[in-house]
Amino acid sequence: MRVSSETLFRTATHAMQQHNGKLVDLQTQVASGRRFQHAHEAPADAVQVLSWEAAEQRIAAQGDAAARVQHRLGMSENALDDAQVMLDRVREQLLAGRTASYSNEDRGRMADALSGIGRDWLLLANREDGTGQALFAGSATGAAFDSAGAYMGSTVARQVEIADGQRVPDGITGDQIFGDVSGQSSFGWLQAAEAALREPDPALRNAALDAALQGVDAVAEQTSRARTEIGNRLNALDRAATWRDGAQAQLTQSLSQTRDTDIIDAATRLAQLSAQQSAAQSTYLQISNLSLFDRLR
Amino acid sequence: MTDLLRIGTTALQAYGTALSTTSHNVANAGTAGYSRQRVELATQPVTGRIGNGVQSVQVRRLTDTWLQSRLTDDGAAAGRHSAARDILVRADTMVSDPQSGLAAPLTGLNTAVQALMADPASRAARQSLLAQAQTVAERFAQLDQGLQALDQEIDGRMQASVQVANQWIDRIDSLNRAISVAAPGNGGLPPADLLDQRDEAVRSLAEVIGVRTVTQDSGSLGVYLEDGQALVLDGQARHLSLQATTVSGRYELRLAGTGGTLSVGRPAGGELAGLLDARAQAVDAPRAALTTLASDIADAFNTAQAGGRDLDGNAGSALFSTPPLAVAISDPRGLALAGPPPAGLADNGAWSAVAAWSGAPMAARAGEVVGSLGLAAQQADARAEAARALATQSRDALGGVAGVNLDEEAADLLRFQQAYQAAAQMIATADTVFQTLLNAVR
Repeated sequence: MRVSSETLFRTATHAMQQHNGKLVDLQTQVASGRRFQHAHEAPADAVQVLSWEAAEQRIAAQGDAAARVQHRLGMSENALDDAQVMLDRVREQLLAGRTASYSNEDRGRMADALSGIGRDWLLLANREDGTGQALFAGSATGAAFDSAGAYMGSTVARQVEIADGQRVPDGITGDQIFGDVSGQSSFGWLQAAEAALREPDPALRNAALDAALQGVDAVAEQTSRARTEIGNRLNALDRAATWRDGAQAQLTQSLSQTRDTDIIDAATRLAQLSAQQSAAQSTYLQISNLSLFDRLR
Repeated sequence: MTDLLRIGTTALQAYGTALSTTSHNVANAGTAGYSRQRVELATQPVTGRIGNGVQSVQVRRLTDTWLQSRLTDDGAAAGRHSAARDILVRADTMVSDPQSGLAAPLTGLNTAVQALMADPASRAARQSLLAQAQTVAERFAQLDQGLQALDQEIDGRMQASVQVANQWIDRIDSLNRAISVAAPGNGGLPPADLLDQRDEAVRSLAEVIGVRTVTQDSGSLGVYLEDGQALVLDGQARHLSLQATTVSGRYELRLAGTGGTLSVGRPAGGELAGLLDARAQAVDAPRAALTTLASDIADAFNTAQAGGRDLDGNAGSALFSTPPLAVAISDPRGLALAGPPPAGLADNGAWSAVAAWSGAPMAARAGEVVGSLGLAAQQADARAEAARALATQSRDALGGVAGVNLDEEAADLLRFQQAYQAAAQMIATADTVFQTLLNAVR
């Protein structure tokens, strides 16, 4: 085959240029940690990576949202535990009030204690989540209950996405905990309990105390149900966290396989390319030294 | 004796020409488009019993017209695909960049939406969403400007290409004239160097715009566009020009004709064809896709806003205006996430659909835009590589016939030098013989 000198040199320089280009690519891959920078280098993989990266961010955001829900539910749970303690105190006072050995003055002090619990009960019902938002106002802004114990919040709780396709309410609305039960609200029952203790007539008092006890038990039952519901939601959060961890791990692995530079492979190819480039350079020098003109004397 | 001297002289002349031709070949080993030349030697016309020596009949240009035209076509294809590839790869680099591309701000927007959905009354979350929406709008504007800049660059490149094409058209025309004038000089053959220059000019023209050529009886070369319109014919050169069309404001390729310019079909080869390919794939398609995506994003969020109540209980107003995509709300309280009562104002019900859409579905839409441009760029890259490889093969094949090989020339130099020395020796011998004869009769 006849080969022109121009072809000989062009082929050799083209080979060296190609190696240089590949070396630059490889260097970029190693330096950036990404197997490709732009879509034209691997269109199908690039699209896949985009959706995976978006999913990674979305799951991280779901994790943040879940942490906030968990915080609110945890604080609600604490509040309900406190509520249970307060209701137990009320119950004790009501049972003691029925004891004949106590004087009306004793019962007056008990009623004073219940009055204090009533004030604390309102504070509890209006507890905030630490960011200035009421725990038990549902999706409403502002306080959950007014000073008279009327519910000002929303009866609808906020739904928060904690995993793909899974949303949980981030709290129990106050009306379900402190609202009407057996005819009146928890605030009403506490007032009724206090009023019963202050009743001087024993027969009327005992009847009122019995009624108040029933009402307070109903309130306790209602808070206990709410407590259970919060427990269920916290369990759901745990399950969602497990799902997110699994999904995140899968995404990390898939992204790593598709997007990230395989350093071992890159190092191997670097060695291979360097050797090829070095060989191409030597070949070029050898060929360029081979001239018949050098031998003409 | 005089025969001996005369034959020696013809040999000196013939090998002198051969040595000159060899040195011409060596000197032009690096000249683009140069075809190697060979001196064809023949015996001088015979007048008696003994021959009359040697003569150089002609200097022949060694080439292959089929390989020449294949290289012209392959060069046109390479010019086309490489021009398209460069523009497409740049558009893709812009749109698919991990940091400054389309996807990053959209993912950021979804993150902000989710944070806001978890805490709709939070002023910080509301501000963050507005900031992210602003980033999205700015990114769409940046990408659109970047693609428009590519569009303008295509215009600029087309103008430059047309100028270059016209220069080559003139050059081919003037070479045609020079060749027809010089033709009778070299044993009836046209001067080889001028033919080389003309072939190279045609190749250069084809790299800009695909052409067909026909060699006419007069020896001049007719050059036509692929749609058959003549660029160079019968001593006439017609120039290409660009004219802004009234419809799109974009350039249309036209050809000078009698009494005005004529419309020209879309070229199928050369840089101009590649630029037109790139315009459709790297500018028009992604810009349209981005506009559609921007309007879908605006629709999704504006629909949510329209169905919701803001933090003050008022009906929501549009978050985005289009086109171009811009954030239309400045007060963070204006984000209307709350559904209808009994939901409170810290509710997020009105945005639940858009929150879901801004996750995987919006990412998939962005992926479609990035993916189709990336695929187009990858295909253009593959085509450009294939065309370049074909053009290289053709260049190598033509080089195999027409290219100068320095070793071969060195061998020829040696061969012709020896022949020249032998001829000189022959004249010296004639001189000796002549002196011998003179001494004999003295």
